[in-house]
Amino acid sequence: MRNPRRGFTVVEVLVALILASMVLVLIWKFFWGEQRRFAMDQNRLTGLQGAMLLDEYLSWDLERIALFLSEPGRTQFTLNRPVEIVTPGRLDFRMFAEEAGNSLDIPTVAVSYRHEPSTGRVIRSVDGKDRTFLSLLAEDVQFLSRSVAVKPPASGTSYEFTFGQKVEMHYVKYLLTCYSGVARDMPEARRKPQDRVTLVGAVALPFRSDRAYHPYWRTARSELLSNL
Amino acid sequence: MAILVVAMAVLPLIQSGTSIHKRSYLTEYHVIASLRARTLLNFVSSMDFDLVHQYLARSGGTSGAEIVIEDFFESGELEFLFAAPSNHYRKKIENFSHVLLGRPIGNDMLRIEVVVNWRIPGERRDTPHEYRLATLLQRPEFTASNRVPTGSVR
Repeated sequence: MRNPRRGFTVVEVLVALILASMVLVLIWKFFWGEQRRFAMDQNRLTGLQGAMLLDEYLSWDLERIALFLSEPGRTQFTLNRPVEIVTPGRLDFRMFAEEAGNSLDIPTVAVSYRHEPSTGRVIRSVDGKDRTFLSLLAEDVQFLSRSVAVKPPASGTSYEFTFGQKVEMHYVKYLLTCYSGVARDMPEARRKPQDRVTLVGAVALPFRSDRAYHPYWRTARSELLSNL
Repeated sequence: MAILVVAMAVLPLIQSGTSIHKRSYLTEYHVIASLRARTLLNFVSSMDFDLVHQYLARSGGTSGAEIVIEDFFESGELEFLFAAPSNHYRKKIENFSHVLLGRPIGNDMLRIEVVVNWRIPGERRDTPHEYRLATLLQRPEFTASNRVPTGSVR
């Protein structure tokens, strides 16, 4: 008959302790994993938000790129080098200024996008004034400038241009890589591929220019066109 | 009994974590799709208006039907456009496809639309996800091809 006052044996207590600690370890591992995954997801979303913002700004600025600049004393347009990739993480160009200009010297400002690897920040600089994309902490940002030929129509006939030359398009491509906050401080070997968010975007340099994009160009343009 | 209580307490947390994780992936794919759509629309709207107009008009676009705009670059540039060295990213990109549609509206306007489709690996869904983006382009006052005597831009 079982003695109701009998306690647990040492073996029973040990087994219970081992089982309890195993359950605790499993719960702890689960919560640690969940916390890591949550941080990763949060950082992924922040990175995506930052990348979208970068894309918005880059598109906005490149639509206003000063591709066609007049030179003082000349009536001919010159097509300047559209963008300058100073380093893989730095892009420089000039865009039309917001201020009105009535002379032949169309006002432009210097624009620069640069990635600072030490802080992960991406900075947009207009006329020397820096603005940081606060939500964006990028491990790597690369800019590429490309020029590509546009294909003629399938019929084989060439496009009807007033000057018969190959049509090319310039564009700027960017590759942006963000790591989750947890993985950012880890050595490369311990990082997992899913900790990384890569986004690729491209912005074409416009073929056309008109009042909608360069509101203050009209006066200067009319004078230039009358001299062409 | 104790295990049952622990399981019941942990279950909502697991579901919540899984849901957040799934949503973040959905958002990532959605952002990739929207970037692709914006890039393609940006490229077409940045091209010479007459060039796109001629393309659509010659392909029968004047009848009012949408015309599929095929790869408008030489040497498969569109593949390069969305490529990245990361294997992880490349695997994601393989799940995406797009169609670019255009239609002239009279002589001075174009309607361009991008439809991006994608599937998420492991997701049980019959139809792919879809993102549509459309824009109207009006004939600009001034274009590179018709007024400016420039040299090659390369």
